[in-house]
Amino acid sequence: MMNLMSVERLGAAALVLGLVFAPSAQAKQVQLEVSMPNPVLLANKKQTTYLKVGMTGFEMANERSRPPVNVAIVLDRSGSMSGEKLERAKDAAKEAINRLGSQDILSLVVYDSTVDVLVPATKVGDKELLHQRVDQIRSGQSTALFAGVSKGAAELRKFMELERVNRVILLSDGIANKGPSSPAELGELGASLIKEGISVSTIGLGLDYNEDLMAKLADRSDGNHVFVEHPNQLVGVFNEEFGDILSVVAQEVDIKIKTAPAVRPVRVLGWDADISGNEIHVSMNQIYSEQEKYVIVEVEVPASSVEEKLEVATVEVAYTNMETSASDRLSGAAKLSFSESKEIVGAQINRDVMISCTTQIATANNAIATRLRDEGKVEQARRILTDNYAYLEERGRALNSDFLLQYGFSNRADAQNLDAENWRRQRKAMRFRQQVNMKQQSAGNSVQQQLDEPALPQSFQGPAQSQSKSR
Amino acid sequence: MKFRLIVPFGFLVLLSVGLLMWFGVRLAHDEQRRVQEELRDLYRGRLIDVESRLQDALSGIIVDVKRVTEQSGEDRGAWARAVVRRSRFVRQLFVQDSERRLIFPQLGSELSDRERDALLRTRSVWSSGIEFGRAEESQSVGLERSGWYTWFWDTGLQFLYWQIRPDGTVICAELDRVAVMAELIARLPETDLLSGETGGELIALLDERQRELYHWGSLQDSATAPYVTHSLAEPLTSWTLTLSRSRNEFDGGIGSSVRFNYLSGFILLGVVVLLLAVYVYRESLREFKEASTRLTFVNQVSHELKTPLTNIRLYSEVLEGQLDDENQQAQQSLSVIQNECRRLSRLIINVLTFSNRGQRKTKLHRVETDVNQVIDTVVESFRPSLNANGIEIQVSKGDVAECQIDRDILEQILGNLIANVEKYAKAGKLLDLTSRLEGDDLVVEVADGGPGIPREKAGFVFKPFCRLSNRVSDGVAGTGIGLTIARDLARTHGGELSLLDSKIGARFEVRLRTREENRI
Repeated sequence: MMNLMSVERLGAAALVLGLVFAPSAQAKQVQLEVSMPNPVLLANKKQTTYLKVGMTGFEMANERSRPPVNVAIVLDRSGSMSGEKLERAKDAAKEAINRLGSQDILSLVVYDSTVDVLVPATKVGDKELLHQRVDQIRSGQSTALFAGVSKGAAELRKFMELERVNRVILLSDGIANKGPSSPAELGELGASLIKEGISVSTIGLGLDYNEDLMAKLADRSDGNHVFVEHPNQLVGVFNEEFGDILSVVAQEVDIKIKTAPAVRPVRVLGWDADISGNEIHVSMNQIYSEQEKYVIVEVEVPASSVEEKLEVATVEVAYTNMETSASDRLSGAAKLSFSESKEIVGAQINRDVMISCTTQIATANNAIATRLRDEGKVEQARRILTDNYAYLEERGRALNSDFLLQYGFSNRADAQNLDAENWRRQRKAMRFRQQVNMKQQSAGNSVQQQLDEPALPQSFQGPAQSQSKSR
Repeated sequence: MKFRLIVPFGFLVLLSVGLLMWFGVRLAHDEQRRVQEELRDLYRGRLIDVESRLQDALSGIIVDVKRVTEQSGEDRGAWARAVVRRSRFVRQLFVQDSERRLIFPQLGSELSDRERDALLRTRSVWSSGIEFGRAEESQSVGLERSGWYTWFWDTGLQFLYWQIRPDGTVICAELDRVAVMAELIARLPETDLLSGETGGELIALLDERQRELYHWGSLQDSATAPYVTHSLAEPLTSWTLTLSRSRNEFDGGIGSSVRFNYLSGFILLGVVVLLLAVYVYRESLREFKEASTRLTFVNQVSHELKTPLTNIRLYSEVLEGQLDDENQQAQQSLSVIQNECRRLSRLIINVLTFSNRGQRKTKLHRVETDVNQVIDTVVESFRPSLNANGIEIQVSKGDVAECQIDRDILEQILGNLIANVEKYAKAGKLLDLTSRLEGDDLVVEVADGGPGIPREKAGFVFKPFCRLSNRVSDGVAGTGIGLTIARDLARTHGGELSLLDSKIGARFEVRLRTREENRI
């Protein structure tokens, strides 16, 4: 952890080299930025720093030019969903159908202990008919989540095309209890689906679902994960989710990072990565319009002299441009220079990269706290979260970042809600926030803000207030 | 008499009806079993169809694996990693050289965490010493260029698909268990919930730990044990398909209808047999009644005959006394009349004795009797007819003196025996009578020189209405009750009538007790 916290102490002048080149002038491209939080490091010292590979989606020309989507909505109709949950879920599904156009493909899968493909993959034509099918959904018994997702993915495969956005949207409020049901297995499923270009967005409803399973499935397939506490938030969340899906500008993003022979990659924060030797591979399924996705790599830099200019890494990104349906390639590199003066090193700070790195480090700490709390080590978890809060507040003030400050308050709220009665809800909120920050997820923003509300400065009046948080 | 008949008759009827029922139930049971077995086969066929779907899915996976591994690049590591990134089924690629040594991934070289994990997972595969494509050579022609290999690790059965390249290297694709399961599930049918149909059956796919991976269909009643189970072939060995179905569909249906058909058939048959039995019983009862009326009639007639016969005898004796000795002609005619009278009265006495048989005990009138004189009287009464047939009469009287016996019984027994000699043993031309005392028993032997009675028929002749049918007895009038009555009378007298062994002819022994027994 000391290691993680040390970013701030690396401080020095920065030199960023984001090398971007575009093959054609008119076609819009994803923007690649390869940068380091401290472009200038202290000379003659072996140290650890971070490399950020950020990609920002271009602005989509207009709604009409968006890529067609291929969506499977997989709804849990188990017994626990009956009543308002299922009704709101149906509303949300209908709302979502309304947003789709005739070039889009929709399938609707419902499951309890068995799976029914209510609407096989078809072009969205008669929306009224689709609404009728949605209305026919009745609640059933247990939860065959694995089979539901498998069937949803099978429906997507019927119209698997390069220019489509393929997405399974899974809504569940319960624990999977039929078929493979462990978070590891569902994570594996997600990992195999992303290889085909299928992402699974998971919406966990209420306080009874398995957040590890739902988060892992989304995480490993590069989908979104949202914790929806109340059914009346479902329509909003579905809207956000579809907003995401309809704004995909790049797909099948393959990032290859090659570090200099002397630079050792330690780990990749947030993303599934293959590190072999000096080569790192990360796959993302999509980049959304005007949103940044980034990968933070922790690297070990050798002791270097002042004269040396170290090219830390070269980055190659290949993706499918959804506007032109062409395969685009980008490349970039990050360089470091070294100085013996601490002032020079401290003066050069790349604020954005710093914020990203801080976010990832704090998120990793938050996940450690979750694990410790799972192991019953409540005090240890609380200490980490409190430290995390202090760290984020300090970094937030130093970098003048509201985001980090707010993230700090969230961590403090987490620390206050580790007791048994709040833990179930809090764990879901934590898992959700970790996912959002790890994957720079925008979907679920509205819900997240509501979740964090009690922790915002204006309402902060000490632990006594914490009871009012659970609505 | 009636009771003795009803018991075996009823027993027979019940037995046959019972047997019919038993056969019926068994047949119905067998039929039901057969139907069940056929039904089971039918359902097993369904599972085999499902298995072929799974095998199709596996073939699809193989095609996919072959496609992504088709072209190997220069840099083996980069190529293998690219394959793993591209194929959703391939979890890790392993490459062995022609000597079956693992050349990728190799410990010591630069490996990703994923590859290190993969080596750990597959350690048992490489240390097992299995040589892909070689073990099969001994059995088949040696053309095996690819195949499955499975092993257990962590979450369960793991799959590996190996291919031998022309250069001898082996490409082993470790498949992603979860992706394989997802693909298999994707290929299996869904459950149509909206149609409202509950098919009444449920098919489930179970993994090696009997954990349900997927099922479709629904049951009306809650979980019952699977109706049929089908084990899957390689590489899904130890996985099973099970089919459960609602009980009320066919077990009730076909089974009970078969049982009903059979049972009703057999019950009908049973009723027919019972009706037949009742008919036969009533019929025989009627005949029995008729026979007994006839017997009563004969009995009465015989009684009626007795009085006139006595009168005829009486007056013929009176007449004999009035006849002159010279009138030989008349004398002779008279003796014929008397002989025939005696014969007739014997016959009547026999009939009456027989009809009284079993009804009331003949009373014994023991009196001091000169046995030899009784023998003489009887022999004398037969003498005319015996002489007429040329039968020589030998009587050897023993020292029997006077005994306490019933004269009438002895007379009747001897009369019956001598009458038989007269009827059946004419050809022997001999009647031999001997009498003696053996202890308290008076023994009279009556022997003839006739054809005799075969040993095997010895018991038979004493039965009522049974006559030996042979040339001798054919055409001879007789009632067939003589010996029966004789034996009955001898037994009434505490004795016995038995047939003795004899070289020629028949030899009967009459044994009568001369002293009153202490009988109850």
